[in-house]
Amino acid sequence: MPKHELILLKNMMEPGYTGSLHDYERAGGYQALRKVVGKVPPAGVTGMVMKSGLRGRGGAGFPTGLKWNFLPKDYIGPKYLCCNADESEPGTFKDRQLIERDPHQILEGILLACYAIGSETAYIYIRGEFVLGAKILEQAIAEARTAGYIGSNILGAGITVNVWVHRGAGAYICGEETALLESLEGKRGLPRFKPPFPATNGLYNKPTVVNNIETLANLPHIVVRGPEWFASIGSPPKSTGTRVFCVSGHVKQPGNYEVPMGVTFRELIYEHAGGMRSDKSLKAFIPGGASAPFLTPNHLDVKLDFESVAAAGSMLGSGGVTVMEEGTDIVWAALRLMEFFYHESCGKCSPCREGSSWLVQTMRRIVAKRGRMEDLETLVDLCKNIEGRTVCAFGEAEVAPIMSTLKHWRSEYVTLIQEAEAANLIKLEPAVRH
Amino acid sequence: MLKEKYQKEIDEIISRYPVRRSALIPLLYLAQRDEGFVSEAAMKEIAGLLRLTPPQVYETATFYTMINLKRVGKFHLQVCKSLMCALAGSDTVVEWVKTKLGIGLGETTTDGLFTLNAVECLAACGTAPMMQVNDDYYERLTEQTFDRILADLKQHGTCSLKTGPFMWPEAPMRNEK
Amino acid sequence: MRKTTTETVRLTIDGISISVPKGTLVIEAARLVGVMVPHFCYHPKLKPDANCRMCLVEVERMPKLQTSCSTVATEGMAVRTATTVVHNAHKSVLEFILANHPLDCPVCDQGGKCDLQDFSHQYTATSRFEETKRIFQKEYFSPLIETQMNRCVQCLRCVRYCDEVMDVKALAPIGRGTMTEIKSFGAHPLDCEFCGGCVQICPVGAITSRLSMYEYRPWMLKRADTVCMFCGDGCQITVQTKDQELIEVNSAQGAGRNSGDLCARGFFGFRAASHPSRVTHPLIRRNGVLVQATWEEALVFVAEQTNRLKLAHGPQAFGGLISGRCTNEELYLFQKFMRLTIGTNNLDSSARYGHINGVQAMRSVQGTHRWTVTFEDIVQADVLLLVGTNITETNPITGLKVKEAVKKYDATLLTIEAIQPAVGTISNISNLSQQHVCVAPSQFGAAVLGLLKAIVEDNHVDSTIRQRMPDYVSAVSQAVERLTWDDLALSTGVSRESFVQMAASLAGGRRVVALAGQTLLRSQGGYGICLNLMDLLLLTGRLTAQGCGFAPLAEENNDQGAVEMGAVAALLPGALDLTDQDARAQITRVWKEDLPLAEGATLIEMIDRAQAGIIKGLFVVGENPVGSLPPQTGVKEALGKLDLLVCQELFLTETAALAHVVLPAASAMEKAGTFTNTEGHVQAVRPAINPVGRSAHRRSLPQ
Repeated sequence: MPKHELILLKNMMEPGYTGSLHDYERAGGYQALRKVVGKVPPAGVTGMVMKSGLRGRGGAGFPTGLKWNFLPKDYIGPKYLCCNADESEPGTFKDRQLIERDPHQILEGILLACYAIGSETAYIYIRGEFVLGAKILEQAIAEARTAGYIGSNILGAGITVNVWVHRGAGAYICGEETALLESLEGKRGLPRFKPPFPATNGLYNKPTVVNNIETLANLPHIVVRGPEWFASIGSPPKSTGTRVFCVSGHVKQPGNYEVPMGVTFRELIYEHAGGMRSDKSLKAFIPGGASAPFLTPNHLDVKLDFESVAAAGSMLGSGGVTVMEEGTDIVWAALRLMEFFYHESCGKCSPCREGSSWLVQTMRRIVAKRGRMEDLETLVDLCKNIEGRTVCAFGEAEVAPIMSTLKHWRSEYVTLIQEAEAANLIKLEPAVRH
Repeated sequence: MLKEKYQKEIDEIISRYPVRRSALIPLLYLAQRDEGFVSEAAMKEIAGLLRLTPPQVYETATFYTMINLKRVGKFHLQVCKSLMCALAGSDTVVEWVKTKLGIGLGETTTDGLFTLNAVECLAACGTAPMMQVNDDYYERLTEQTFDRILADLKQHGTCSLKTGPFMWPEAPMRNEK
Repeated sequence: MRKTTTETVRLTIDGISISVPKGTLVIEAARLVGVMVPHFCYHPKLKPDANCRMCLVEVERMPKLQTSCSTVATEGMAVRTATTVVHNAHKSVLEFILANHPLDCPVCDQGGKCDLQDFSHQYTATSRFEETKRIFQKEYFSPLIETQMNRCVQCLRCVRYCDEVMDVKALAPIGRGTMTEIKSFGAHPLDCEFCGGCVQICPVGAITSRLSMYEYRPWMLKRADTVCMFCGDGCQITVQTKDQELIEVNSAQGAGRNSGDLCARGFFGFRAASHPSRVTHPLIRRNGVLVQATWEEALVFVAEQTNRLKLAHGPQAFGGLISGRCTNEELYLFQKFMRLTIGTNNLDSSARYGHINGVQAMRSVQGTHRWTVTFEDIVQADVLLLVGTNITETNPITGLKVKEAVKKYDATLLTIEAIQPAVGTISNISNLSQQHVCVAPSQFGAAVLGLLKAIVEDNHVDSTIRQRMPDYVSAVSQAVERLTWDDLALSTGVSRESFVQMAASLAGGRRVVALAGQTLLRSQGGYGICLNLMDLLLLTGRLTAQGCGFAPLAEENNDQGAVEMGAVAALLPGALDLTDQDARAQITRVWKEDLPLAEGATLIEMIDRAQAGIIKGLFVVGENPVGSLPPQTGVKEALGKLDLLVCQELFLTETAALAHVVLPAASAMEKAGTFTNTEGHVQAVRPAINPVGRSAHRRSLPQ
C-alpha cells in the first residue's frame, strides 16, 4: 500500500478501473455535483474552494478560489472556463495520466467550477500531441452528456454546461494562460500583456477562468469530503492537499507519485521513486519542471511545498522532478533546456526572443569547447536583462537553468572553457564590435 | 474541396465556438487528416469558411509545429530530445533512426514511408526515451522494441507497442509491493 | 468604449505633475510633458501590444519596470523615466534588438529616419553579440513594397496597422521566435490595397517603398507639405523631391485631415505628375495638326478667335467647363472669366457629375453648402449609415474614419451598397456592417424610401419634430404610406424586416451620420435621394443634433470648391443662387461689373447646344468630357462642330486631341493655391517642383 492516502490517483489504482462513467460512479463519482447543484449556491462552492486552500497545480500556484472571485460579480453575459491540459513543461506528465485514466474526475471538476463561476461553456485546451487523451475526454463527455451531467438542465436543476475538447497544435507557450486563450481564439499563441487579466478580459474578451487539469480534479474531493479535510492535508496553511509529482531522470522507478505537499524531496526520490538507478549518487535535481532552477543534494530535505521550495531558491512549479546522477554534464543539461526554450520562445517580445537565441548560441559554444571566460559574465548579464522584462513568465523560466547551474556548478563551466583554452582551439574573435 | 467531403463535420466544429476563428486549428487538423499536410488550397478554403484572409490562416498555421505545410512520410517519427529524454538516451534513438533508415533530421526515406524529426518534450518523461509516430506514443524505447515498431509499421501500418491509456508506474506493480 | 471622457487623473512624470484624461497611457502622458520614452511597437493609432519592451519605466510601488505603452495612468501615479535603472533597461533591450540586426545602414533606405538608428546613437549602444545572426532569404514581396526581413524588429506595427486601421489583414507574421518574418501568404507576393501604411509605420528599414529604392538620404530631399489631388478626402501629404524629381510622398503621423494615413493613390501615385507624356508646350492646330507654339502665339490666337466669335454670335455662343481638380483660385478666376470677360453663365465643372446633387440638397434642406459634421464626428458616431459609397475605394480616408468608428469605438454600421461582403485582402466596408443590404445603384432611392417608411410606421419619429413640424411629418407619412412593402421588396429585393431592423438601429443612435457616396450622387435622382436621407435624419431628430448630420462624399479633390467658387451654371461664388437678386447685387458690388442675366447651360446642355451649333466656342480646363461622358451623348461629334475649342490640360486627352488650342497646365505638384475637401476644409496647396515644361500656371489663364 502507498504510504500516503491517494486522492487523485485512488480510482485508477484500483485493479480493473477503466475510467468509464460506470466505474467512476461506482467509485463515488459525480456525488459532489449532486451534492451542490441546486442545493448549494455557486458562491458556496467558491467558498469551499477558498477555505480548502487549493492552489493552482499548473505552475504558478495561485489560489484557485481567489482566481474565481476575481470574476466580475454583476456581469451579465457569457463567461468561460478553460481547462489547461496543455501539459508541456518538460518533466511533467501527470495531467496525461489524470486525463487518460480517470477523465470523469476532471469533468466533474469542470462542472463544479462552471457551476461556481456561472459559466455555461468550458473548453478543455489539450496539447495536440495527446491524441489519445483528447479521444478519451471526448468519449467521457459523450457519456456524461447521455447521463445528464453535461448539457442543458443538468440534474434537472436548470443549469447548462457544455464542454468541448480543443486540441492545441504544438506550442509550449500555449500553456501560459493568455497564450492559451489566443490559441483557442484561432490565433498565434502569443501571451497577452497583463493587466487586464483573463478574469475580466479573457476568452473572446469575456470573463474567463483558466484552471489546470490537476487543480480541477481536486474539486470533487473538496466538495464531497469538505474543505476542512482538504486543508488538513499537506503542509497547511499555504500548501494544502496532495500533489501528483512526476519523477523522471536517473531514478529506479520514474513515474507519477501522489503525496501530500510537505514531504521531502528525499522521501519522494528515495522512497517513492526507488532511489537512484545505479550506484551513482544524486548530483542535481529540478524540483518543478524545466522552468524551475536546479537544486543540489543539499536541498534533498527541502519540503515539497510552495514556500519551502521558493525559500530554497527554486519553485514547486508544475511538480515535475527530474533527477540527475553524478557524472551528468551539467552544462550540457542546461544547454538542452535552453535549446527547448529557444525552440519554444514565441517571439513576441524582444528580450525573450533575442535573448533565447543569444543564450543558446553562447551555451552551444561553451559546450563545444569554444567558450571564453567573459562568456560567463555575459550569460549572467543577459539572464538578468531578460528576467522581469518580458510579457509573460517565460522570461524567468528560460534563464532558470543557466542561472542556477552557474550558481551551483560554475566550476564545470570554467573547466569546459579552460579545456577550450588549453586545447588552443580557434579563438572566436569578434569580427565586428558594435 | 474539404467542404464537399466534410460538410457535416465542419459545421459541427464551427458550432462549438461563438467566434468562427476558433475553429481554425481544428479545421487545419481536418485538412491535414485529409491530405497528410495542409496545402495552400486548403488554407484558402479554410479562410473562406471562417471569413478570414489567407494570411490570417497562414500566420496561425506556421506558428504551430504540428501543422505540416509540406508533405511528410506516411509515418512521422518524432523523437523527443528534451533533457528528460536525453538523460535516458534519446540521442541514441535518433542515431538508430539514422542508421536503420538512413535519414537524418527533417528527412524522409525515399519510399516516402518515414520522416524523422527531433521534437521537444512530449510529456512522457517518466517513460523515456520515447517517440510519437503520427497519433501514437511509443515509450520506454529499447533497440529491440524500436526495431519491432519499425517492422510492424512497415508491415501492418501500426504496432501493438503503442502506449494505451497512460499510467506510470503501472498499478499492478504498485499493488505487488 | 467612447473616446470622449471628461474625467481626468493627475500623475507625475519625472517629478512634473500633469493632469490627463482617464485612460491615457503613461507613454502618452510623458509625451505631454515633453518626455519621449523610446519605443518601437507603440503607435498612437494602434492598440498597445507591449512587445518591444523598449519603453520600460519605473512606476512607484510597482516592483518591476513597466512598459509605459501599456500602462494606464492612474491617480497619484509617480513615473520615473530618467533613472539609471531605466536607462540600463533601455540599453539592454536595445542590445537585444540589435543582436540580430544586420547593421546595414549604409545601404538601408531608412538610414537617417530610423528609430533604431536614432536610439542606438542616443544610448551609444554597443553589443556584445558575437554569435551568428539570423538570416532570412531575400524574397520578392511586391512590385511596390520591398521587404528586408533581416532588419525587422518584429514590433508587428505593420501587421497591426493592416488589420486594426485598414481592416485589410494582408500581412502575417510567419513562424515563431527569432525566425518570425512578415509575409503575406505562402510564397505569393503581397496582394492588397497598397495603402503604403506598412511602409510608413515601420520604425526600421524592414519595409520600404520600391519606387524610391536606393535613391536618397532623407536630408537630401526638399519637402513640401501640400494636399493630395486624387479624391475629395483632402489628405495632407509631404512631397519629397530632389531637384525636379519626385522621390517620395508620405504623410506625417497625425498630420492633416487624414491624420497621416494615405491610400495607394496618395502614397504611390505621385509619379503621375512627372509622366513623360505631359503636355509641356502650347499647341495650335494648323492644317488639322496640333503643332508646338509659344504662349504668346497661343494666347493671341485664342484672343483673336474669341473676339471674332463673340462679335459674330454674342457671349451665349460660348461655354466653359473646368475640373474640380483645380484650385479654388483657378476655379474662381475661370468662372469670373466666363461671366465677365466672355459674358455668359454657360459654365460647369466636374461637380456636375454628382457632388452638386449633395450640395444642392443640403442647401435646400439645411441652408448650408457644406457638411454640418466633420471627420471627427464620423469617428465618434455611434450609428453610421452609408448609402452607395463603396467608400474604401472612392474615399478611402473617409473610409478609415468609418472603420475607426466601428473597429475601435464599436459604432453600429448600416450599409446600403451595391457591393457584397467579401473577406479578402482588399477591404470592403460591408464586411464591417452590422446590417447590410445589397441593392443595385438604380434602387438606392427605393431602399432609402423603405427605411423612411419603416421609420414612420414603427413610430421612430422624434416627438419634438412631430410637435414643431406637424405638416411636414404628415406629408412624409402620407407619402410613404403610398408605398407598399411588396413594391419595395420587388424593386430592392430587401424585406420589410430588414428595413424595420435598420430603422430601429438608426433611431437608436445618439450620434448619427449618414454618408452618401458617389454611386448614389451620380445616380438618376441622386438629388432626391439626398433629400430623403435628410428626411430620415430630420424625422428621427438627428439632423441638427450634436455630432449628427448628412455627409455627401466629393469625388474630385476640389469638387466642393468648384461649387463654392461658383464654377457651375446656377451658382455664384459663395454658392449663392444666380437668380437671387441680393446675391447678384452683392457680387456685382465686388466685381464692379454687371453679371450676365441669361441662365447658364449645364454640361449636357452645353454639349447639346454645341451639337445644335448654338455654342461655337468652348473653354475646357482639366476636363475630358469625351473620355468621361457616355458615347450616346454624342459629345465627340458635338465638340467636333465647334469653331473654337481651347483645352488646358496635363495630358493630350481624347478631348484635348480635338482642340484648336491646347495650353499646358500645371499639376497640383507645381502650383500654389487651396483645395476644399469633402467636409469643407480649405487647405493650402504648395508647389513641390517647378512647373513641367512651359506649363507656368500663373499664365495658365488670361487674367
